[in-house]
Amino acid sequence: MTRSRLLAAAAALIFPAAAMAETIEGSVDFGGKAPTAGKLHREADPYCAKKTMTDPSVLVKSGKLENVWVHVTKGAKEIAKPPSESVEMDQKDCMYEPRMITAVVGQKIQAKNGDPILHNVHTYLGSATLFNKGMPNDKAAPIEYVAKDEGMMKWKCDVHPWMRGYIGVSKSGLQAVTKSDGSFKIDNVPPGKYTVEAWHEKYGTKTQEVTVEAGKPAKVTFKYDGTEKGGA
Amino acid sequence: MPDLRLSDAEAANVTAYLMTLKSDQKYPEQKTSPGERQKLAAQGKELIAKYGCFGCHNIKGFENAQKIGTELTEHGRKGVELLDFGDVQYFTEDPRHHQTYANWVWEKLHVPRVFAYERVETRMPQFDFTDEESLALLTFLKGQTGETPPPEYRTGMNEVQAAVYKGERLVFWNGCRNCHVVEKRGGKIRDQFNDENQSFAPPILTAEGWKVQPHWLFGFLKGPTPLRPWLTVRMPTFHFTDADATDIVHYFAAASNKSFPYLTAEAPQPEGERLRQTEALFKELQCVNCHVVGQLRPNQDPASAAPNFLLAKERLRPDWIPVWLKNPQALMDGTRMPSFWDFSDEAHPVSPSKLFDGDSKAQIEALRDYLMHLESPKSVPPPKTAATPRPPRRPAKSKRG
Repeated sequence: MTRSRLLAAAAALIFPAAAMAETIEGSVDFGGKAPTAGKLHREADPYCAKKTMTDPSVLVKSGKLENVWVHVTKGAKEIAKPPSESVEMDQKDCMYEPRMITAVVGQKIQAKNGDPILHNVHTYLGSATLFNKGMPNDKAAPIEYVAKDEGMMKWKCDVHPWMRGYIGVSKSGLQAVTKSDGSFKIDNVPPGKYTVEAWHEKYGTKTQEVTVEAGKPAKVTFKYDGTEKGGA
Repeated sequence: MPDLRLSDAEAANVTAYLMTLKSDQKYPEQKTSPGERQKLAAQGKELIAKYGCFGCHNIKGFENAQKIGTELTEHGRKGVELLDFGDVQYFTEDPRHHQTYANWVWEKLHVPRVFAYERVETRMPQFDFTDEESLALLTFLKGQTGETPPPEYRTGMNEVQAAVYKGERLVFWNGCRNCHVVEKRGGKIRDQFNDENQSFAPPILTAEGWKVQPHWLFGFLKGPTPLRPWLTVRMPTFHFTDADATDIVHYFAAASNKSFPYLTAEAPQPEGERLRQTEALFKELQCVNCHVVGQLRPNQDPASAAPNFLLAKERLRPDWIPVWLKNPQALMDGTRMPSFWDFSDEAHPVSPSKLFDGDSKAQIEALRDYLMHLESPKSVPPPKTAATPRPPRRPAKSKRG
């Protein structure tokens, strides 16, 4: 290692990137008419049938879309250190809880079964199965998995075909999921040029180029109108 | 000359006419002396020896002469470095012009003396081969390697390979791979299914010969009965002959390197305490949440339904069941069957259940034995077999030929 590189490495330790990092924030808008959420057909399993539920795949409130994974796909220079705490995906009342969450490559993901009945956790990256494990009841030991690759990790239960969960996995950790007001905020973004992608399970992806300057948050708005197709 | 069936008189007339066509041309008188003639004859003999006329013609005095051409028996083995390209260089970027065996032969056949130069005389005559003839000759020569093909290119080496070879032809001619993935190939129809309805696609038949019992598969091929009656795609009846059906069953067994046609079903019937624990385990893992016993449960979503357990004892190879239960993904990538046990550390597997003292292997063996003896419960009516698909209008012709 050369002397100047050593100095640069030392400087990085003394002045962590976060000190001069900004945010990318904004919202995901939904134009057009939000589809009426249909009733989920959960009659097949007597336990699940006890509670009626509607399809949560499209959640729109005042023209804002919830559960959109917004993440940096290009431009990130650093690889995030995986947080020590696990990301938890629970199965409760025959639904995944939360429906969408994020994880960093190398981070532990833990699946729990909060129901007294059999669920199988069948996860996919694209169309390839990552793992498929049965959890006979709420006493089943949690499944532990370490996120290996970037991308949208899909969760399905083959016993209860309506169950869907999503974990957005990223290397840089520059990612967020929109809240019920459609807003999102990606922290610790060093100044630079980025490609930011929004992903929704029904409506697929949208991308934007974003320039982050020191001293002010970069604002981004994504717009869906409900005619898009894609996603899971 | 065809037979024109001429009478003697007709033949005489034709002869008389032909005689009138005699030319008046006089041949030049031989001015050579007897000594010169002798010299010329000796020269002619040398030329015959040089050009090897005796290769085709019988010529007195050349009965034991050696042929002049190159030995072609193993010509196909020759490397480019053994071929004399003379002054002909093909050093252009175009690969068609490179110095290759094929290019050498091709040129040689078209312009036989093309590779001659001051020190090397070539004597091959011009045969005016057409391109087609040249290609045929090139192909033949390339095959003159004087060796038998390596074992992997030979068929019928042993019984197993012969069975696979025979079966592949039947699989091909009957179009099995249009719907099924057979031994990792085919199954194009699966593209028509998406993530949501993948379970309605025709089954993958890789390692099928390990999974199913030969006699069951034979019966199924002769008269397919739906395993999953809720599917809309259905296996057609091909009206296979006994011989063809046997060959197909043998093919699957051979492709998986499994015994054919007989096997011992080693699965002792669970009794007493073992039976009680097995039933508890069966219940704990909730196998019948997806698997059908007889027929679909009321309200059961066909999208989540899995094969009928009552068929297991007739259909499945008992040695396959434990391997499947240990890690279904390893046998069928993407299957909806979950793994309940964790065998990543083979010596210390992790079980989801405390039954059988948490012994994963004992649990799996117990489930296998239970399945291999599972009878239709009295409350559940037997599976419907009336849904046999209609036979096609005319029997499928055997296209083997």
